Amino acid sequence: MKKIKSAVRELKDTLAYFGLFTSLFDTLVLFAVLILVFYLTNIPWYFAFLFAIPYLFFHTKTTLRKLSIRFVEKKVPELKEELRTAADTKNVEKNEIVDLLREDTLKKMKKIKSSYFIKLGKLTRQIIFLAVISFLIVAVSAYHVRFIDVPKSLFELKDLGKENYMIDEELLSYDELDDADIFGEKNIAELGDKELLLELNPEMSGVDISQVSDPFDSYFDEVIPPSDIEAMTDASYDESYSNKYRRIIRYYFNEISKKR
Amino acid sequence: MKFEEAKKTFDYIFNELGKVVIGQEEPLKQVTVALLANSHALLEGYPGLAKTLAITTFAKLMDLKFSRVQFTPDLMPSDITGTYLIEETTSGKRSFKFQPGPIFANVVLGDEINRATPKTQSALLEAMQEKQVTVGTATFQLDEPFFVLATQNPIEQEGTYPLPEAQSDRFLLKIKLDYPSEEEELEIINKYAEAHKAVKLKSVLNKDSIQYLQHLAKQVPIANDLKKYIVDIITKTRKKKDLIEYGASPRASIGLTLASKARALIEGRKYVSKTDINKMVYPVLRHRIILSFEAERQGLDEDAVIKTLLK
Repeated sequence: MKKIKSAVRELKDTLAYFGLFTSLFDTLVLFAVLILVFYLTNIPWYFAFLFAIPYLFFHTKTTLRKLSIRFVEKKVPELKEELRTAADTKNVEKNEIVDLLREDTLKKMKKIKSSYFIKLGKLTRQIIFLAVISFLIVAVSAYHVRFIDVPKSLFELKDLGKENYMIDEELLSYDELDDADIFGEKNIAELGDKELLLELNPEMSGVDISQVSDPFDSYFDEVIPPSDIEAMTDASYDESYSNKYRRIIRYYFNEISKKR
Repeated sequence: MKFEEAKKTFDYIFNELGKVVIGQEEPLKQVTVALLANSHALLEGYPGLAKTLAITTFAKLMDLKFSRVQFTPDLMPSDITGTYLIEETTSGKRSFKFQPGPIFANVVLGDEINRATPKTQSALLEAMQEKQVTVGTATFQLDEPFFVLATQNPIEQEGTYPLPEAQSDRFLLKIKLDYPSEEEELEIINKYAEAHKAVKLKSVLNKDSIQYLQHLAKQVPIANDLKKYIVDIITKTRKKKDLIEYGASPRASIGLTLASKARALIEGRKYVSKTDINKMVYPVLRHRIILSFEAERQGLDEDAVIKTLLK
């Protein structure tokens, strides 16, 4: 009885080891692929663990379930139904037929080979694939190859809905007057007849077209209009226009005339 | 007798049976299964299929007391169990002495059991269940092994008393005998229509060896998933309401397990195989299920319905 118990236990342990080895190797392949993909998409490589660890868990569970005594019986047809019966009755004592069954099963269990549990072809292919992936990872990281910048794209998506300038909605409210048409009020339209002198000083501009550099990220915390745009005339103040628009225009000119 | 010798014994039995009964290997195997399972069998077949011949030959191969009862409508229970007779001694003293009936044998052949009245049938069935006979106030134990083989004719049902399902449950197996093939029938003609020497049979089993084989059959191990398979089949008979009106009881689960073990022993295997279960499920369940009207409307018999239960 002890012999069959230890034989069955040894078989189950061996199946568990092979199952674990297979799962680990498959997970390693997946991990390598994920690292390569994350490098190419500028995602931090340690995020690969988030996928690899659950995969390892579930893959190990399904593999161990598959590597059962029935699997061994499929590989060794002589043991069909015999092995599982011997395993199920390993605690039965004083049974002549069970004793004979155990003797037969132990003899036939010597025909079980390790190669039944490891698919050498698949393992070889996985090793080659891992070697290729490793080489690609080294190359990608050395030459900073990036296809898309996923974090940046996600950040830009996040800011899509936001407005760039603080706008007071009240100031922009506009009531349609009786004498207004699609061109607006006539008295304000007269402003357009006045000449507005604007001087742009290119020397003070920060833009140098001749200089080419890598784009860099710039984050603007304050909304400040460019300092080289100034209003020289303020003829609009001389015009008579309704009080509610004065605030808007005054605010506008105050802002553009602010110096850094 | 060891396990290896058991296989040789069975091979010898079937070989010897084959000398007298042409064909019918599977029914004879099933009769042996019923014997090893320490139970009884009901044989159903058309007249002239060597039912009685097979059983009498089978009994000759075993060194057991054999008796035959031909059931007729006027047969009384006492004709089976025995009765008290007045006996007069030489001194003139009279007393009642129990005269045992044909049931007091190891192998009892009940021919055309469906011809007897329910009262007479119940006398036999009671003995099968209890392995004892009560006559008046006295109870008599029957000798072990006790094996009843009853036969039934599926045609000429007029004036018969079919066994109710509750009582046919006492039989482990309901074995169907079919017509022989053309080659087998030719062989039958050659054997029985021409002058030949009678076959001498040598008995190979006695009481002790049969009891040992019955004990050995119970020892044959069965895997846990096969036990679940058996329970699954029996449970399905209760759930398949479209074709089966009344399913089998847990007695069928026990019966199928024992029959499968006996079958494995006959085949010389030290474990129960799924094929043993699939082969024995038909004779075990045939008489334990009642088909619904829908099954009858579709023209399905019990075997066809049982086939739908198997995976």
